[in-house]
Amino acid sequence: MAQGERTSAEVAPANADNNTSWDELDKADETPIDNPEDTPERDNSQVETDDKGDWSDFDAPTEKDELGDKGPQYELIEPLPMEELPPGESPIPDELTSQEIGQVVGNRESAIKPDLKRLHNAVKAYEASVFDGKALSIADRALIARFGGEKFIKEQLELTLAQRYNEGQVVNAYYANRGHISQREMWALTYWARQDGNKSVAVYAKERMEHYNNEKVRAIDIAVAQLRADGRFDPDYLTLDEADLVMDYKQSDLEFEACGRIYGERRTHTLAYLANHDRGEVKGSPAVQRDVDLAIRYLCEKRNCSPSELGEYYRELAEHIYHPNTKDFAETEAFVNGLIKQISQAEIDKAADSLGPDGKNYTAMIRALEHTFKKLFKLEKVGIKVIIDMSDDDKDGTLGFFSPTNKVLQINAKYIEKCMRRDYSKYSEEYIQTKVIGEIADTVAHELLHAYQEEYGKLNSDERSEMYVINGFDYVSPERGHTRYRDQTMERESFSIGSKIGNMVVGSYLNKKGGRR
Amino acid sequence: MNEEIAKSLINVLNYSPDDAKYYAKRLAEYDDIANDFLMWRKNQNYDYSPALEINGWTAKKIYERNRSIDPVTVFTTMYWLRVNPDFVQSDLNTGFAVK
Repeated sequence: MAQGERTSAEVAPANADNNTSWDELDKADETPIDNPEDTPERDNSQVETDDKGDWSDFDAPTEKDELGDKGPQYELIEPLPMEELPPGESPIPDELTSQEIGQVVGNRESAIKPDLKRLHNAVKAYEASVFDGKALSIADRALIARFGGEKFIKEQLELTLAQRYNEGQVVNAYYANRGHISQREMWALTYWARQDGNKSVAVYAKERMEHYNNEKVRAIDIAVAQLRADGRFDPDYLTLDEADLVMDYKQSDLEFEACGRIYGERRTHTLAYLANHDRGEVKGSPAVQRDVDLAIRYLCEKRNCSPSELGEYYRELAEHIYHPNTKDFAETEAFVNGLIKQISQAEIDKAADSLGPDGKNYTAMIRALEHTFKKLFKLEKVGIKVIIDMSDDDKDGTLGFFSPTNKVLQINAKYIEKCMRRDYSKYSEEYIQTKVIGEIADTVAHELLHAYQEEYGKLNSDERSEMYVINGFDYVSPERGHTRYRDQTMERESFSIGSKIGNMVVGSYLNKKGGRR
Repeated sequence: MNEEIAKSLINVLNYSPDDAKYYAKRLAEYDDIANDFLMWRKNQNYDYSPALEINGWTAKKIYERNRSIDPVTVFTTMYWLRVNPDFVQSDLNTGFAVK
């Protein structure tokens, strides 16, 4: 056996067979989800891809496959802190793409061994090509670190493997992975359903936020008082002490941490580093610190400047990204209008025509728009897959998404139709139809622009590319406030182009329809 | 009024000072929108009257499109309904969906 290879038995925790440690974990959360339907399910047979052959690895298991004869078990266990994970050397490398994990998690337990072998080979190849410092420059490594995107850390993978011994958790892991979110995020999303008495999300969130706010204010007050007493307080900078106090607090509040850890930590440490680069080393988890270091070095190399100068530059650019002024909004509009000018009316008409006589062939319209935008954005050779999800399950308000890691873009077409029918139920069928068409076209343009932003940031060195890099690194999720999410550069542009394209396709569809009458 | 709104954003909604300053400026640009926001702060709900209406939308109607959105999103949407309705049409259509 070559070094680094292990059997599934070795990978599994030593006591996995008797489930002792996992039983203890189960006790940590004895409240199962009250309604099994809360756990997202997906009928994969209804998912269309533009290249089904490449997706064969996923082999999405059916519910029967996953649960065997035991019936549904949706009980969740709490994610383990790192120190409680089984001891011993793990063959799992620090980071894996969600697709690589999908290869493991998306299969039956009996297939662990061959899957792991394949997984190790994939990881070896990945490491050889990506993290060989001799072959790749710092900038390349930074790019890969940044644009490799949603990688899973060792902790999450170990958790995933451990959870394979709980059938219910396999379902959770599988769907978390399919949704391109981490186990922790999945845990956070299902948190509310597991609360005693099923408190409403709003009530619970309010309580937690009040608690969080009080604690944070108290911690920062203490920090500021200490720093003032020492004569070291500088209101213009986030000090290391403040950053550490905030982090200390975050670590004491695991539920909140589950929701905000990734973005919060990264932002805190990036800003702290940039503001305090010459005051000492910033503490942080290795994964976060590595990302921060690489991003800073990458930007310094690109700008040919010092971290100190970069700090000023970063703050200035961040204002344009996160706090756009009138000029920034105008520039967004001008940029989007410039893109739209390159699309011919014939191409829009073709997309509208492809809807067919009843206007319901959404798949054909999406493919037509995909072709147009891939050409416009020069994405033909990037290998982005556009998945059209026609399943009827609830997507929790997500109409579509783009995953840079897997270069996968998903349009939740059926869900969009469902939302429009729900929201406009009092209107005529004809009106609802235009809303569905407009929203699907909007979402296709929106997500493909995200793909363009990703590629543009990678391949260029101008200010726009740096804005995409910084914005991608410090992305504001909707959970941090819908307006803040909408205002950031990447979303500002995508919402703008989506809205315009949606209107154009609907206009063309109505014109054609009028002509047919 | 700008400062009063900024304080609310920091103390009530847990905004950072930078974000609070930025969004307070936007909300305070029109007195009627600012006053509507302060009515929300006073009542801590959207049931106050008289409620400001822009293009047929009140803060309560916007909030009812998606009860998980924060008040800044509600009142910023009112701002955009006045300044550039196209900017928020998609949000209102989809109930502030994510994509």
